[in-house]
Amino acid sequence: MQSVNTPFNTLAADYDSWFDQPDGKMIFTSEFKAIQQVLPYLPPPWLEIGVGSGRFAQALGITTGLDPADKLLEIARSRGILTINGRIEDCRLPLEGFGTVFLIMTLSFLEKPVAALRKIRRILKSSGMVVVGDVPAESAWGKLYIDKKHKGHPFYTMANFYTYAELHVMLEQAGFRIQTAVSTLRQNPGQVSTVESPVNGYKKGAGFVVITASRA
Amino acid sequence: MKDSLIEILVCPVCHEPLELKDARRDEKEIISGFLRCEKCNHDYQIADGIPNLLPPDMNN
Repeated sequence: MQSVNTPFNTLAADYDSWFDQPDGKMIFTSEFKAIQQVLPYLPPPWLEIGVGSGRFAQALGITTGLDPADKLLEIARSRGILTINGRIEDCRLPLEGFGTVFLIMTLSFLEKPVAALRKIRRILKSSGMVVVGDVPAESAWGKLYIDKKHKGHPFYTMANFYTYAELHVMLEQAGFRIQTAVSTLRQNPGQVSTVESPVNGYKKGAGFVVITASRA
Repeated sequence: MKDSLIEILVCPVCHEPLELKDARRDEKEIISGFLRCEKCNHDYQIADGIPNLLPPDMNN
């Protein structure tokens, strides 16, 4: 298969191995626990857009994933995920075909996030939900990633980080109604020493926030 | 890819359903083959079990 020229293909193994590093494990587990908190409220079937190597999908039980980076999808497939090589901007999925769509560290990497969210809204059932997990730009983590972006980091140079308020506005502009927020990663970069328990609501300074929003 | 995935996929260009061609399977799923859009006369490759539904110009 021909691969799209993206660092997520050329650096796929490096990307995936971060999750096995000591800091990566703690950060991932903290983020996983925050998403896990909202899972009981999410209708099936589930789809993750930007599934990457399938770390979150495997841990959360998400069955199907979409991503433009086929090298990452090969790893996701080895983790048992049904994978589709494509971009939400182009890939046509069935209208009202999914109960929940996850965007975990993905919205920041979309060229037209509101247009993508509108499209996601159309593939959700009437009772469907979208789950956005992302790094608020105003947090210490957000500032670190923005700094890395400006210094030419291979992944973050493609990203645009948004504040929690901007994430809210984008979801509402796309026609979603915000339901819940969960915050985690209140430890600053370079100081992560433990897996965190998530807290309900948005806590300013949190490095990772999960927002659930309904289609209606 | 599982056969069930074909039901949710359509051509990224014209949005018409796709037809499975030249499928090679192992005991669990489709390993290789093509998803053909008759309207666009374009084949979307399935390689290593992953369907490639990126638009044709992104693969060039």
